[in-house]
Amino acid sequence: MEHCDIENLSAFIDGELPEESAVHVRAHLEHCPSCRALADDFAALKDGFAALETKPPDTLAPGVMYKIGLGAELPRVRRVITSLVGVAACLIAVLIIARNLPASHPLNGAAGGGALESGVENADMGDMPNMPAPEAGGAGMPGGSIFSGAGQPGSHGMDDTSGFPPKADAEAPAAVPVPVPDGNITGGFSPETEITEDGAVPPPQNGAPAMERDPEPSPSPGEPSPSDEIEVSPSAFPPDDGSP
Amino acid sequence: MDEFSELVRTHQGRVYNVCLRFCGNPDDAFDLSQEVFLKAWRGMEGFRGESSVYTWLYRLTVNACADFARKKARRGGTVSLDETQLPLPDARFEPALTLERKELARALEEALKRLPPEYRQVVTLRETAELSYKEIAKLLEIEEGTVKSRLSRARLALREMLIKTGNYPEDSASNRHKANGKGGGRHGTL
Repeated sequence: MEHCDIENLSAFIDGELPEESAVHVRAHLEHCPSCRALADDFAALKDGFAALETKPPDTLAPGVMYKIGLGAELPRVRRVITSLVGVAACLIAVLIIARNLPASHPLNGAAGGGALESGVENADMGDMPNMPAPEAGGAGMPGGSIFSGAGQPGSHGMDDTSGFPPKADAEAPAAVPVPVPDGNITGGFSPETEITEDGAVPPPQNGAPAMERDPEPSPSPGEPSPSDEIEVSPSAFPPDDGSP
Repeated sequence: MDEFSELVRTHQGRVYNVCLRFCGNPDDAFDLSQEVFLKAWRGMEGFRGESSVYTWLYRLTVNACADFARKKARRGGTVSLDETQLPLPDARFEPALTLERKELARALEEALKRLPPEYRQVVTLRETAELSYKEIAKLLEIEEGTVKSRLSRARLALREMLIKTGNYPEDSASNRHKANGKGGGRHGTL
């Protein structure tokens, strides 16, 4: 007895065989146990494929919708914006500080020696060579009152240079620890972030001490910056070869 | 936008499963699925309705999977096997398998990974994406006859692997059929 053409048998199982051919296959299967068994195996394969079906992760569709800007993960966007606002506030504060620095401050390269003398005179603070600049008497932004005494020996505030250890290379005082006055600043900035004279903010360093009131840890150098996460606008995806 | 959201919800399961069959691991399947839908979103404006959204979406899926396979091949992960002499796992180290559906599915998954890409592609589009022969032919730009031929050969290869790994009973009529017909040869034409 001749057996079925296997291509036809396979197509028959799929329901893709034209009816006139399907009639012949159906009739043959009734009398040929061998072909019937093969048809059963093919059918079992279909069952196997059905059993292979895996539920996609729950995050697939929301992730797609989020990436094209239609998703509901707005809190994350808000977090990024909040972080950027915080960084901007810090930069403004640093610019204010830099502008108000007295001529005798060690950050003004030519006056390093005078600052050293001032620090030596202050016996109370001289015992803590690594102490950061004194914290402002409140949680607000650093205002003029905090730094108004700058340049007056013996007063409190940024003029008290005993907190800065004397540096041999006074001609290159490139960086200074900057206090962060408000714990609401959440990302990209730590209290020990160093600001160079020209206002550039270097990336945070490993091992920098954490700010006590900082509710969220500052990102490590390997983590994406807030700016990396802002790609939620559909316009960020120009049409490409996805067209049919 | 609601339409696109609906498209994603409706097809995410099948797109994900097609990707899973092609790339073999859930993480890559997830990434590929997202890539497919993002490409679909970007290409929505250019879609002119010359084919159904359904077919178009699976074309994107196939292309994404093909790109993935090419990258994998460059890394040395090519799948290559002869149509009649399939490199099968040593059944001595396989646990006793039954005909239970779950066991069959598990064995089938392993067997699928050993199929040549062009066979795996066709059988996956048929069984997982549930596309018709015509849709597969259009999508892959091949003849319907080629779809039919590849499907039957893919099934024979899968069946042969499952028999050798003990997923079909030894005394099944299919084995007798195989013995008579050399496991995939033509037995005649109706």
